Amino acid sequence: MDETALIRAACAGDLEAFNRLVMFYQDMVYNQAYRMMGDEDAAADATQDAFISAYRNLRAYRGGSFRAWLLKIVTNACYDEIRRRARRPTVSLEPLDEDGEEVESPRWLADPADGPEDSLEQAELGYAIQHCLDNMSLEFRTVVILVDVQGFDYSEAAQIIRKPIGTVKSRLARGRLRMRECLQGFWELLPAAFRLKIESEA
Amino acid sequence: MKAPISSRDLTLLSAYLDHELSPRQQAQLEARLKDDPILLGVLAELRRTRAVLRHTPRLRAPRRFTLTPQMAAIRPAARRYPALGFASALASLLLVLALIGEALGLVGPSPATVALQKQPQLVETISGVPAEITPADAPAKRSEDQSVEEALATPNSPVSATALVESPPLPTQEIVASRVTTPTEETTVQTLLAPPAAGGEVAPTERYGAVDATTVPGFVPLQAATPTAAWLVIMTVTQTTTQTVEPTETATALPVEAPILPQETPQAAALAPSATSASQPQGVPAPPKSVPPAARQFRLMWRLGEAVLLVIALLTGAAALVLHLRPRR
Repeated sequence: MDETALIRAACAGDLEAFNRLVMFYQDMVYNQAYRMMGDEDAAADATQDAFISAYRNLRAYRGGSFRAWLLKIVTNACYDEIRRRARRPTVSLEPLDEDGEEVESPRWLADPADGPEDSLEQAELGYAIQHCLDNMSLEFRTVVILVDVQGFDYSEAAQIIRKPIGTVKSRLARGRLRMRECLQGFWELLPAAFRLKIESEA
Repeated sequence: MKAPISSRDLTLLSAYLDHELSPRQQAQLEARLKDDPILLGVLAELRRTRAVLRHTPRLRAPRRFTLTPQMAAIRPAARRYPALGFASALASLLLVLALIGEALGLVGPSPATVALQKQPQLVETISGVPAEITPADAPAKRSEDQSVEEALATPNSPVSATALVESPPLPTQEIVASRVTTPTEETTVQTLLAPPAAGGEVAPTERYGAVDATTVPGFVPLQAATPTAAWLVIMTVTQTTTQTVEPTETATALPVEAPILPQETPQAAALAPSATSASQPQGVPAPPKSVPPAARQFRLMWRLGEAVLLVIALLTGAAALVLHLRPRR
């Protein structure tokens, strides 16, 4: 895929060229939105909004990393939606336990179906990570997702959140510390083989 | 649980994992790591945390997020709403102005005039009051009128004052009928009062005479089309009638309001010939239409403005409604 040519064509109004870019980046953009918001529907809305906004503002793209530019747009869309939700809190649809407390991550605690073991481990790990991300402040969460989940380097992350690299370093270190504290409770729940695999890659 | 190291060391360790330290910082940190097991332990936990995060499952997009031509063509609603808001505000402002103008009677027939035109019995009720006066009461009534007319007469118009006193008494019904049929100020006065003496000063007397004519119910300008004139006449009739029955009323109070009516009366009576016919006797010709072209043009322009305003309000409301009901995406 010649990204530069597609971007140039999309700038000239070629919607088909832009849609090819969408198909290539939509998983990454959706993952960013989902990890930031923790809700599939809201993530889908933010992803669609981000692509629409990207197409309309394609002329504002001044070169550089296109995926970082896309991630900046979707991150801002998530910020807006999260702030809007904070202003207008909604009633949670999460189930309540016997004490009236909200059951955290019901899907994660649900009895798994007859799926492959790897998928189960991946799903449990994903729910655990999402649970910890949701309990972290938005600033730390964004940087952790960008660097550790999406794999951006510090300069790209700084460009996306429009902060200095020093801020990225600081937020990432504190975010990782929070994640470590949160994940410790789930670590022992993961299968031993899976833990060993992660340990060996660390 | 807090990290057993400082925030600066935590940042250094985190950046060290990602090879984001300068060679000098990296060398210094590695030297410390050899001697500090706490730093080494925190580094190991950060590394494991990072490894876990890097194993975060990749989700597939639940659907295709490609744009359709319709989605690409959608303009931000925020760009349209200010224009619509401005148009709505302008339309509302003009509508308010139009309503105020209607209420003040500056343009068009007011509801009061329409009611008068649609209900001739109101006029007839007022004009029918003299009919209830019996012939026996006529001299008393006429004497009251004469006393008022004498009070109205100005000192510098002896001829008219004399004419007032010497004018032969007319039957009440005749007075009403003659006044109904008189389209102009001069004829009204001449019919009401005795013909002025030749060479006499007529003008001042006519003015006050016309005012005095309104003291008798049934005055023609009640059916005027111009709402302002109609209301002025109605109010003046009420006031002057009240003043007529009060013997203590001074003569100086009446001429203050008196000059208003002769100026309004001819035009007002001419603007509503159809309404006049409600109480007009049979065989009496309707007063001629004499609307000034400027006034007619002004009224036409105002009607045109109202129509444009209505169209703007309708279009704006419809557009706002469509944009509001339209799906966002």
